[in-house]
Amino acid sequence: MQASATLAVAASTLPAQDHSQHGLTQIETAAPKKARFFNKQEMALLEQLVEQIIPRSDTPGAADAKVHYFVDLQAHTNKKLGSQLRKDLAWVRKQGFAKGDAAKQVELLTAWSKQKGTSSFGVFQRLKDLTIDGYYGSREGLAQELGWNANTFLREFKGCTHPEHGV
Amino acid sequence: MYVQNAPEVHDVIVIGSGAAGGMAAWNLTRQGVNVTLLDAGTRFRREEFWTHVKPWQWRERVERGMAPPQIRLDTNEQPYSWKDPNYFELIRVWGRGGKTNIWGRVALRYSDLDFEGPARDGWEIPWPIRYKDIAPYYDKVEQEIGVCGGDDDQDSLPGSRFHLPPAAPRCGERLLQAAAKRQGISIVNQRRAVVTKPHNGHNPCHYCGACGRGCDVSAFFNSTDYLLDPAEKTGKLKIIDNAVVARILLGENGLASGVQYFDRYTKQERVIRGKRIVLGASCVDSTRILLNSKSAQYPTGIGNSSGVIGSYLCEQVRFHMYGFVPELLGTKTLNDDGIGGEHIYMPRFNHRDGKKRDYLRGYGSQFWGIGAQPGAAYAKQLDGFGLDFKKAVKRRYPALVALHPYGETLPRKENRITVEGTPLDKYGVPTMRIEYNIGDNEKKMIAEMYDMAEGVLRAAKAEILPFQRGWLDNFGSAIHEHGTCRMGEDRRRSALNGFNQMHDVKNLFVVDGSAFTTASEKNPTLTILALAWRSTDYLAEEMRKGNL
Repeated sequence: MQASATLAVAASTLPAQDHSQHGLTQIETAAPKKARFFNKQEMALLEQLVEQIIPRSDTPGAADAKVHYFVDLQAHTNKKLGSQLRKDLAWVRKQGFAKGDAAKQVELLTAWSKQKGTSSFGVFQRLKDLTIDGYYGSREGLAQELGWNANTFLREFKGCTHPEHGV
Repeated sequence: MYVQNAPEVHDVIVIGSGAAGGMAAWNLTRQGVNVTLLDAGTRFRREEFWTHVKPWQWRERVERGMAPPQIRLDTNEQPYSWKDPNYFELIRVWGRGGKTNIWGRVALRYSDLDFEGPARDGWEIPWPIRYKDIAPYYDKVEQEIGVCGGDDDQDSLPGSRFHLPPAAPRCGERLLQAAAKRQGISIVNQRRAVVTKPHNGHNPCHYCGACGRGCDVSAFFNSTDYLLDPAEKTGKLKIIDNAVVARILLGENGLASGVQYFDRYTKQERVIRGKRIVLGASCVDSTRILLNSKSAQYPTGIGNSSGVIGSYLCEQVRFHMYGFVPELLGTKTLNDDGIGGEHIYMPRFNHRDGKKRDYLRGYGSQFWGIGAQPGAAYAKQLDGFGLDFKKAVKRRYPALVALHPYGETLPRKENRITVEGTPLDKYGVPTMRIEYNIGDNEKKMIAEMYDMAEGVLRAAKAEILPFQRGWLDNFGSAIHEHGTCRMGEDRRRSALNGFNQMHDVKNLFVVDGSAFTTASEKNPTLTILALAWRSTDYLAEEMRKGNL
């Protein structure tokens, strides 16, 4: 209760700010990433795939956000998903994705993405869904790309300030 | 096994520490009554909540093997079964405050449209109370705990002059409000048990939007900080931790005489004696306890001469529909957290628009998921990949709007909880089986709910995310279980009277959602609080008169 009271006092005197300094400093900096499920070759392929799905632009891409490590962790914690993804990656490799240049990679992904209802589309959608979860939950994807700046302390919530949005 | 039987006979035993049990303990102790409360867990430490952990920090923590505090009960610890294929998602919290630690905070008053529903249409038994009986208690509950909202009164959703200031609507919410108005549907300020300004010593909300992880400053109603801590200050409340109640015992005089429980971790069996018992362990767990409390006099469970206990389980049907409003496409991302969840509510309107329906009762709508969210799951439903895809996701991000309608499910005998022939739990007590389904009435209502949601989004000129008409959230996922120990005038068709007192066993009161005669389309917690207050006022008065 005392800790709560202290926080509440702080809330009314501080402007909106990142709250991460409160007790989270120890884990604020990301640890160096280590693959837990996939081997080196699989990780390299995964990195190419996630980066093609969400590439770097004027903001970071999925590889910058280490989304391949996010996918690796999902595979590590869900072995059924892991073995499916391992199969998916082997299939992707067989299609000549890893060796292809960027244009070839885009061509392959474009083809798979259009074959709805097929297993190729299934592989594409599985990788895409994981890339979306990984990227848009990362600092790079959520804060830098989408501009999310929430889960903070505000003294006041103003809501909509646009008269034209109203009734 | 050695059973420790304490000789003490407690004045009142309260089972459960959530909205129902917390209110019972608070209201009795402040009137000078000694209460012993059995809680199936211990206090949750709000200093440990992950309230202010950003999504990427959360990920880092999990990678390091950390986990947020376990608030929800792990089903493996207390299993239950369901009748395939109808999975029933049962969400329970064992520990101080129960589900009020993480509840949705929506605090709607029932109206006479709800209380008079069954009397009007003849489906199942009527409520024994009306709005006038409970209105003073809604007033008192709102003044005590703090509920923000509007005084915009409707026949289906009473307002209140005791509401705290409402949370300001977000852009997307105002656009939907305007679109619904063009459809002839009114959307009002949401009522939520969130303290939008300092109230009764409780900290105001700081708009971090992470209420579902537990509030680190206790700015929304939870039974621990708002009821049990003040109750303990009276010196009249004793709480026994980790007490998993198995049965209520029947004395030779036909009254409840005590409670059998097991220590959650040592599994040691204990019995305590009491003169009066108030059961508020949540609808399903209270029902499990009642059904397991068999005796020669009540072979199907204590107080079940009517045979209704366990039956008439009713919840709500709900789904989500998402879209993107054109005015907000490509605009600057705002901090849309607010008080968490939606700031607006669509009260039931199907009784007054003049159109004829071929179903009974009604629905309302919530709107959670409007504006900038901590993720972009909608992107999975957008086609393509690459730079154009990335742009499409970003452009839509500030423009997300959502409808989340809730419809009433009728009480039916065959929707039931039983404890027969199911496996035993780790204490050797039978576990629950839940049989649940919806019928034609709900299906017809759901069809209209889909039309309504789509109509509002179309009126807003929104791009609607693909949806599958008729798709529903899991049964049980509203976490609004009701009806399995219902109140009514007719003791042959109900278990409790209008004061939540058992018809059969006069010193046993059941004050949680199980007491509801119908489910309504509304969130029940405010009504549980009001009924528990009213019921324990009655109990205290009966004690003063020497009747109990």
